[in-house]
Amino acid sequence: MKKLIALIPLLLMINSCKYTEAPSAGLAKEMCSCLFISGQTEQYCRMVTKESRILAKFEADYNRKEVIARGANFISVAKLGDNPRYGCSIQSIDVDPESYEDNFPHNDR
Amino acid sequence: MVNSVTLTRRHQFPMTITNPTKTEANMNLKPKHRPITWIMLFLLSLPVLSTPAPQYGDYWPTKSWKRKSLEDAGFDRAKFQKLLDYVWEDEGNHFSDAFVVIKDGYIVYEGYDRGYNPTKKHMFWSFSKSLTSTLIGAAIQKGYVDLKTKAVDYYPEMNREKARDVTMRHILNMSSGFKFYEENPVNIALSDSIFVYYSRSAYKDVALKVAKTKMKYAPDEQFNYGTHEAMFAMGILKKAMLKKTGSMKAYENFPWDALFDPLNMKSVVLERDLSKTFLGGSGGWGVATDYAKLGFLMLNDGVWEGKRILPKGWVKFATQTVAPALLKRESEDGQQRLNVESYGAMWWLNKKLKMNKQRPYPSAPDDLYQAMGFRGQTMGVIPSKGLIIVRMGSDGRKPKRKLKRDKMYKLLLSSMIEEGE
Repeated sequence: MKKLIALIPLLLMINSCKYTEAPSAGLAKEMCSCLFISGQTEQYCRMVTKESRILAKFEADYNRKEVIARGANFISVAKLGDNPRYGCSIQSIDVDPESYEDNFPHNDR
Repeated sequence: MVNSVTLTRRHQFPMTITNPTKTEANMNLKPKHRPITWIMLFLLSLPVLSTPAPQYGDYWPTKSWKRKSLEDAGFDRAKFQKLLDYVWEDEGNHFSDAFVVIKDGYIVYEGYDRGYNPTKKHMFWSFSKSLTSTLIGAAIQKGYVDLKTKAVDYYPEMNREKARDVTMRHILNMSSGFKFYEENPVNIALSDSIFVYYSRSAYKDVALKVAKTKMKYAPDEQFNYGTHEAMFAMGILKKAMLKKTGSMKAYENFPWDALFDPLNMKSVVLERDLSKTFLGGSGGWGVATDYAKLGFLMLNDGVWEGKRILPKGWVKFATQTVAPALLKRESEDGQQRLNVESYGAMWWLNKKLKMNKQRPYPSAPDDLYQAMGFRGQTMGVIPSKGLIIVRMGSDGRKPKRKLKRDKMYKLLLSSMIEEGE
């Protein structure tokens, strides 16, 4: 019985592996939309993306209207389209070649 | 002063439509010369050519909404204040960003908070689903798809057991039968609704991902609310329009050509995936007063400025007819959490189901229908009261952090003088 209970966290981990893109992709997209469609303040957008920021960090490029987010070993990019009526879309989701712990600025104040 | 002006306008407007007919008819009854008959026929046709008044109110709010004071619109100001106190309560239980109340086509209240204003776009969350439903209605009116359109005709991935029977009607009723958990009850991060937007296998073409999803039930066997159905509707529309027009342009412009431009919903943004499919279940943005125009279109049976945008009978189908899958069961089964809702075609209804003791929103009449979304987004339309209310918010996920919609309706309806004891 104890062995079985010990297996539960392991099974949950394995199950959640396929979802590890979600924190970076979700944060990139949500942040991009919040900043560049709504034009809300970064402070407000941080608040509404609180859940996504637990596992990911972001960097916003205001000139390119683009957000790059890294987390849970993935790097995702979301960008506002040329026609703003179509909002932001995720441009790429890739395995992060570098650990963000070492190379990514800690902008999560 | 305002009262008398608006009342006069209100009484005059229908007369401007009928009067020329009567007057000219009377005038031309005696001389029966041919040219005059022609003039008469021309004048008779004028009322048909001019824009008929809406069923609710006396003007079309295409350019902008007109306003009325609470008193003129029949509200008790002191009681209405109780509603505002609740919506804007600052104890931090819930967070309202925008609140608009419209009675018979007139704004009687409009307020914003937390950095929002009449022009700052707010996220629609699942408001987008009711927009998707309306866009499918508009596409049916234009002949691009119909309720019997089969998904398998556009997605060969659906050519498998149970899946090949799925039609647009099943999709709009959220009863296709896909194995999909909108919200994972254990961990929200593991919800399919997140995975279908934010995974490598989905983000480039979300509708294709839905088409490949396993089936759990046959169509109409089980109601299962989820973002995937709205995505799929938009994917099927894309492929159907591409096939019929031979270009992507018609689909790319469709929401504006068919809906947003005629209603002048200028602020609306609809996000897409990399294959240019509108996300359907989410990804809409706009201001509350623009979203309210969707409510006004529904109130007026899908007609705007005399032009039919949605097919005849569509509004009844979408907003007053419970999804057949919900009617099948007399009691809750294993999927009880999903099966207690009152739902139409991507609109939430207020009909009492056999399995429930009461209506979902007991304080509101049973003709209420709503567009609803995450973080407390709510548009309620009550045809019997001529009411549209839009509340946009940023509520938390815990029940105590959410605006209680039934309480909102109770306070709103009790503030209407005709409702008072």
